[in-house]
Amino acid sequence: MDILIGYVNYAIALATMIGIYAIMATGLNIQWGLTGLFNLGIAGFFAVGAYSSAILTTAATGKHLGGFDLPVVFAWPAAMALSALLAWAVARICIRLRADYLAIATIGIAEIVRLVLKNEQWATGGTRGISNISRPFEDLTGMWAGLAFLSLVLALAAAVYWLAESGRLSPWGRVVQAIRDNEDAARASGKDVEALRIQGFVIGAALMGLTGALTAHYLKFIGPEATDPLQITFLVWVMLIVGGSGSNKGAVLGAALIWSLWSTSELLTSRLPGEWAHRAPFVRLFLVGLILQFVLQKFPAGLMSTGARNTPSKPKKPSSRNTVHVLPPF
Amino acid sequence: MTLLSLEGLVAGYGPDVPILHGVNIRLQAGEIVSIVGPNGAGKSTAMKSAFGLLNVHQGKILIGTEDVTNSRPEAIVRKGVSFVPQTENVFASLTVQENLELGGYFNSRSHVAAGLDRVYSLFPPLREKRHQKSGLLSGGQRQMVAMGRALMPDPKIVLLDEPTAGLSPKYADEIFKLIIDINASGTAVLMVEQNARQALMISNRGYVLVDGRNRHEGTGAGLVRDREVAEMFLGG
Amino acid sequence: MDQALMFVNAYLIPGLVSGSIYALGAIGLTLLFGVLRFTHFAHGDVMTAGAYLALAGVGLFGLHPIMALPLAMAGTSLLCLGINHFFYAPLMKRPSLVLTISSFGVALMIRAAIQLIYGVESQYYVRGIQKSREVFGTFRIVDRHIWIGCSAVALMLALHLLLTRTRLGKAMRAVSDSPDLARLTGISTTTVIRYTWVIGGSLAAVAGVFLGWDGYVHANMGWDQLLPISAAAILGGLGRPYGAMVGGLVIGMAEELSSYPWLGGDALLSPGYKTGVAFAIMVAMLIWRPNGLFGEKVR
Repeated sequence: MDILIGYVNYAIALATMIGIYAIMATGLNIQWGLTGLFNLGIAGFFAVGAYSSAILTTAATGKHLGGFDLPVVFAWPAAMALSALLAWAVARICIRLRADYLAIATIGIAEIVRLVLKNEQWATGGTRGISNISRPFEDLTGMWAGLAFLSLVLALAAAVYWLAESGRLSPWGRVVQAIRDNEDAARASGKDVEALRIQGFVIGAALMGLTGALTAHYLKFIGPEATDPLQITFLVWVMLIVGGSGSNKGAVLGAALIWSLWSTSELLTSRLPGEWAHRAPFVRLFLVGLILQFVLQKFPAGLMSTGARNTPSKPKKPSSRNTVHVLPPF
Repeated sequence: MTLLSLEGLVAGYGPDVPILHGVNIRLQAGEIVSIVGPNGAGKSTAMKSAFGLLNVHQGKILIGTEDVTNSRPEAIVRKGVSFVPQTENVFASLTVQENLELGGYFNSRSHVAAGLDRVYSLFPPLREKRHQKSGLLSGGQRQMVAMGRALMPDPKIVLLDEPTAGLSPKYADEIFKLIIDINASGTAVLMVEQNARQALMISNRGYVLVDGRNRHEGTGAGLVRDREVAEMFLGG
Repeated sequence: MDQALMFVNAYLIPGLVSGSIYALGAIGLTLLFGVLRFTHFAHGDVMTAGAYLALAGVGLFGLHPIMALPLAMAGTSLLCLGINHFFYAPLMKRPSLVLTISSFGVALMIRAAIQLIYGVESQYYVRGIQKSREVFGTFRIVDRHIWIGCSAVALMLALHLLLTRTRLGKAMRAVSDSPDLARLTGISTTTVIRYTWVIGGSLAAVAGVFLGWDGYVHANMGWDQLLPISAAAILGGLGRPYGAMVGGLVIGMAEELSSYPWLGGDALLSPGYKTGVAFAIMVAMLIWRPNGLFGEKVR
């Protein structure tokens, strides 16, 4: 019986994380898949959301900024808004840049966010982080607490999916995809390219902020080392590429597939004897990297191909049509 | 002796949609041959196909008697054919001399030294500017660097894509004179020119392409006098 | 006088040292960008790989870190040729951003492989107090700083000679300038690409070893350098090796000097935010001079 309960709890935990990652992957799909914006700072927006919600909901402790005691219905939207605000500031400056410059800039933002969280102890608790974060429904007994939180996450994920899918099919979605595929043509037809790209970036970042908040409340703790920031960013990218960028369905399925692999393989490797169990995570990370390379090479459109262009390219300087490209143009 | 021949060439930039629909062109030793025709006739395309820059669907390309159909440009250069593209034909951030040295990339050191002497005596202005960045040169001088680079390996054949495009009439005249000099030194020249009348005047023979097919061929002077050719695009 | 001494010992020399390290990393990044037209996000992790290879040499054969350099350079060259062959070359005909994504994945794979073999603890080449010597009768410089500075200058000089005097160097500049024309000229781009990996990988190895020697060797050390070395490369203009040298020094100096108590009393900027300086400089550059300090368009 205990074993059964263990399995059910594991399944609940698995599904909860899949729901959270599905929201994150959908956010990245809005940024990269639809709008063509290269964000490698996912963890930064995630952290801003996590800390904002943690600070707004916890009681005063003296170890970090707090004492607002707000309920999550206010704190989560606030977390999204703060992540969105940061994204807006970044986008205002960097959105016109070539995609790989934007990627470097987002790495920088994530790094700055990390430094602030680590150094500004009065607000964030420094390396000790913030603990005693409340989790909705945690007063319920037995597995009901987990189930109720899971339902909340899944409901949010479903809502996000529905919004993202309506957005993709809306006139707005068609315009941002047109910009992704051919920026100059979109500009020539009078679209405000910068404003639309900023919108895509901000919306995606708000969703990442939401997942940060969800994670902080789910783990009841957040600290600079609570999550390996680079690993989060990497996993979300692999989810989107494997699922098929440009497709919201792909993002969600990619999240489900990759997280299931990630989590169940952990379950298996945790039974390995001592030293091997410590090192297994690195083998798993390496293998996820290989999966990424394999999909990039063999399934350019991802496993959930929508027939749409999978990888936005924005040739900045089209070579004259008569030249042969040995190298990728841009 | 036939140095280069395109036989019944059907070719395009991709695996489908041909631009050339059966083109025949021959270049004999010692000749200057021009390919002329209206815009979009496939002149440049025909010449580039000889250099391995297109997908050949049908027909073949021979250098001498060797079949080089669908060879890569790197391989064709080594068979004694050089190509001067119309645009982006110099390494702008490299000096004049470095551009020329790269022209002899696969030649021996002594060969390169001899090549430099030959090119500098053909284009004396380049010797003075040899340490300048070629991106800073005037259009005409840049064209000289491009032609000089192509001549460095002492090729049997030089292919010129619109060598006078964008140049003032004075510079264009000079380039045409240089083409005669190059030819006189024993290199056969195949060129595509917008400036058709002048090009045909210095050519032994010419081909008129229309819509990716051969329309006329004849001696350079003969084509200039031809009424139909003149009406079509020589401007009366 | 004490003030000046502290400035030189605690700010100027560390700035020059980390500037040289950044420059070595940034040169590789910029050369690869020139030839392959993509930003190699695994470059920091190639540095880490170099640092660990040298650690193996130091640990197994008791080599001096400088003597372990050839081993590290050869190892990372092979590593770079391998990842180019298996991961980047097959994507060469796709948009350059696909390569960028792939290189992000490669970065994580290298890091994971290192963590698997060496674990996550920090390691040291040499333990204990380092010898230092007096210069001009006033300043004391640690031996390793002299080594690092001199080797960096020597390597940059060697690179300069390679780029301007040898056929390979000219061909590299030619491919960087115009890949299409390079092919028409008969230059084999695949060969040039391979040599660029060897050179970029070797310089990254040296940067990694120096970084580990000056501090400690850790699996994250390289990824953490990606930001400053990209900033250095962008500062100098992507594709320009000389720009990257200057860019590296500027970033290194700026990071160190930002925490000097310029206004008396406290540090101008808390040392905890050092990394932020590279980022700030980079963002400022991207806004005002996206093509680098020395102008001209990146193609």
